[in-house]
Amino acid sequence: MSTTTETPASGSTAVRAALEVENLEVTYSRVIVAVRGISLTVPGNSIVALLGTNGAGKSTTVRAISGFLPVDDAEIKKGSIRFDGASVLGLPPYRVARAGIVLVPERRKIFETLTVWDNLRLAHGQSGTGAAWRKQVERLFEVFPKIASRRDQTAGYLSGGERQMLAIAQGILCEPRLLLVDELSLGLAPHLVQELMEQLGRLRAEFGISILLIEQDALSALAIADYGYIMEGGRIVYDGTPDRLRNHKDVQEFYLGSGEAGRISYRDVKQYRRSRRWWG
Amino acid sequence: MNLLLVIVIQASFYALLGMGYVLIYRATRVLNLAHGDLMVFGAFLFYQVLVVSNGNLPLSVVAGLAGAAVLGALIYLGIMRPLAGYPVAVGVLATIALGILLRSIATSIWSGQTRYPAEYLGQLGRPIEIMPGLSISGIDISIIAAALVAMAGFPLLLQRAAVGVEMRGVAENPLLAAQRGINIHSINALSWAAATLMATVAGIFFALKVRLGPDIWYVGLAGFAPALIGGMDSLRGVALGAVIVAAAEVLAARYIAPQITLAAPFLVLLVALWIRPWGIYGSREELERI
Amino acid sequence: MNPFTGLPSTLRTNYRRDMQLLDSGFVRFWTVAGLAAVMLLPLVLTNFWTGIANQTFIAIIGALALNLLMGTTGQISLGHAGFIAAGAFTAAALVTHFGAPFVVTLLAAAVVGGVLGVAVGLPALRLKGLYLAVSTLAAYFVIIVGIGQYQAAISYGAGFTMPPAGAFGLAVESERAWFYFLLPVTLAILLLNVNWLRSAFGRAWMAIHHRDISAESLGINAASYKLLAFSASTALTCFSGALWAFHTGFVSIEAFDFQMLIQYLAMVIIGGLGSLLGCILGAIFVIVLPHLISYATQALPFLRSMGGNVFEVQIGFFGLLMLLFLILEPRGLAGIWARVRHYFELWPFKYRSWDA
Repeated sequence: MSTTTETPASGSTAVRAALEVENLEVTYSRVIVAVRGISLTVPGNSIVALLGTNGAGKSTTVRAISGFLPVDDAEIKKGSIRFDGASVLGLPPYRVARAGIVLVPERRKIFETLTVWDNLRLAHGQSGTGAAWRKQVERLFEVFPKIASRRDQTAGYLSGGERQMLAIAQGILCEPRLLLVDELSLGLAPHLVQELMEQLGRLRAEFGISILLIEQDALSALAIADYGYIMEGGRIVYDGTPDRLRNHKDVQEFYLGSGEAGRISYRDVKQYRRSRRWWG
Repeated sequence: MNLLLVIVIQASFYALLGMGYVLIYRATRVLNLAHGDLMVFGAFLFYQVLVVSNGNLPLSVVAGLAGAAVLGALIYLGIMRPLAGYPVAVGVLATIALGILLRSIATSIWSGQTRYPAEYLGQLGRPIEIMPGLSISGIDISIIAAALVAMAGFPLLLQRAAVGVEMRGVAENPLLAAQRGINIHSINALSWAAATLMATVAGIFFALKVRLGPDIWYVGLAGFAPALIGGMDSLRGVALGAVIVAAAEVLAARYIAPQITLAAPFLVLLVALWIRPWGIYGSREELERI
Repeated sequence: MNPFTGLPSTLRTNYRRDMQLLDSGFVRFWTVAGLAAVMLLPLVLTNFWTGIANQTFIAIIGALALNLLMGTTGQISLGHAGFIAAGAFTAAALVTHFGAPFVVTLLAAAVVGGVLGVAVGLPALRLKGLYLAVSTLAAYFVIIVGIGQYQAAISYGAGFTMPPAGAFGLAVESERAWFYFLLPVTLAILLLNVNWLRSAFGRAWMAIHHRDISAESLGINAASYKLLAFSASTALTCFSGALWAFHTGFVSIEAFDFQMLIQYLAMVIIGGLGSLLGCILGAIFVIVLPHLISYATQALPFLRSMGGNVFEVQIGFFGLLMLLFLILEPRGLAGIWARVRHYFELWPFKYRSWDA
């Protein structure tokens, strides 16, 4: 139940791309409703965080946007997804990618049997692998020196953090206007997560892309986001600027780990007793 | 010496067939048991053009190969693509069903009679004596050359060319490839077209050298033995597998009994699967991935 | 889950009722009525069609055996025709060399099948899916060529004529006699399969089918159960092969060609993998359909022009059907039956809350 009327602040006056999801409803196997009434906006050149615990429906929303629903026997029953004004609903994944929405998936995010270089070669936009592409690769090598040093190694041997870097680099090389980053923080050490988040912020500024961050790690995401949505039980229950989110009592208790009496112990959390008050 | 030559020719034939199996396996993770029937179909297309053009060999070869490539692509788009999400067993069974269908269509169009396209060959079919007691024909030279070109060319294509890297990417992780803007269905259709093309090359050679009829499909079927022995995901392995199977077959026919030629590739296969199930150059992970 | 139809059972209130095979009055009535109807069949069918029915019975046994391996345990086997040949030739050899009586050959065939199953199943322990299918196909070729050599050596390629079947002084010679012999045998084997599926090893097989690594972690020795599955399946197959030999009266290697393999695959796939009802429906479909086609060919003039190629058309048609079933209805004819039954059982609702 979203009560906000604030619009997310966009960093620059030139709004290049906007993702507008309106009233999205996704159903699995024709009977299980996974998400309902999802409306969110990602303006140009901004970072938006989509937060929530496991099973909240974040991945379903992301799959709906990037066109992977038929794979899981799911379909969009209601709503619209518009990118730059044009509808991307129901397009096959490669068309969505070519339209400018690129997904960095949660699992199996790189080609493990190919070398790092071949992984990068496969990622290019409409303009192919010409001089402009090469320049971008050089720039990405500067940002992520660890993968530069492993150019000719099989990507399967990279560590978790390096894989994430490679996956992000691949995503950026595909010339996105909107980058969907699914669960960046999973399985990574906290300092690495922080470093990657900062890099994402820098890449956003440098390449002028928008980023939709799907995260369970609310703190890290809110550190770089311009706006945030919280999902629960298949609906968006709250949204606002990072400050507004951080100051909400329920967000503090359930997502950031601190209650009225300071940091609370997990033992004290009785979710079934206390209903979350998402209004006000 | 003559025996060695026969083995080399047979190995070239098996190498071409085996590569087709490996290509399709890497692309769509199925063992295409219809490969033999694709070979027959392609060879018949070649023969049809040969008859109609009254012996124009180059035209017939080109037409046969082109038709085969189109057929391969269509089969992928029409049959294998809808089956994309199902377990591998379904894919294999589908290829068996497809094989039967192709064979019955071929028999309906061209009847079960055996043909001998070699009669259109003229000079090319005549054996040339290159050493005392050792003769080789133009067809033989061509098949060895074709196999060598394919064995050198394909791995190069897969490693260096952009489309080759795309093929490997799609083979490993189709979802991710789709998300990186690659049209996975056209890539897979390309793999199937290439595989069918290679099968047809082998089929044309067999038709010219021996005979052509819908019943030679089992010859194409035996081609999966070298692929498996070498390791289903390795093109390098196919070469080695082809040599092993060809040697076993020729030597067994010579020194044990000629009727064994049908069973020889499968016996070698059984032994190889027993010793090293993932093939000589294959990877253990491949075994689990199935 | 009712193992026979693959449909969820209606709700139970005690264990005894849960274990019952024929669980409601409705089912009991129709089972008895159905059996009675089948038993009266030879009185209405011609001799030719009774023979077809007998072929169907034997095919059902073979299909049940293949389903055990492919549907329940999930091990692809493309060597089925080879095992039927092995069973048939065991019977032929025993009769030719030792003059063995009917029942002895049947049992011997089953034993040979069991041993053969272990031999073929051993590679299965290291191989999965694709590689397993390929090794069974290779085994088929090897068996066929081997038996072919045997036939050439012993009978000079002419094949073996079988004596009439009979046991305990009763001869089984006419098609009608065969019918009343095969009906209880088939029913017994069907019940045996139902029993196996509900037993500990049946559940182990199904666990292995779904994911053998998980099954192992539950303490199921996947290796020994796989061997057991192969053994049981091949024993049953060879048994049906011996029956086939006696019923047909003549055994020669040409009969066990790829077409027979395709027929059994078609039975199991078109019928529905994993379902016993599917085996029955599939067997009936595959055996009876070609005869219906040949009637149609004679009736419709434009089909008659393809008369010379009826054989190939038939087999091509099966190929097409298998493809269609695999794509559109992987649960086969049994699946279609289940859908229809579901629709009527649940109407006006669309689905049960615990089904989705």
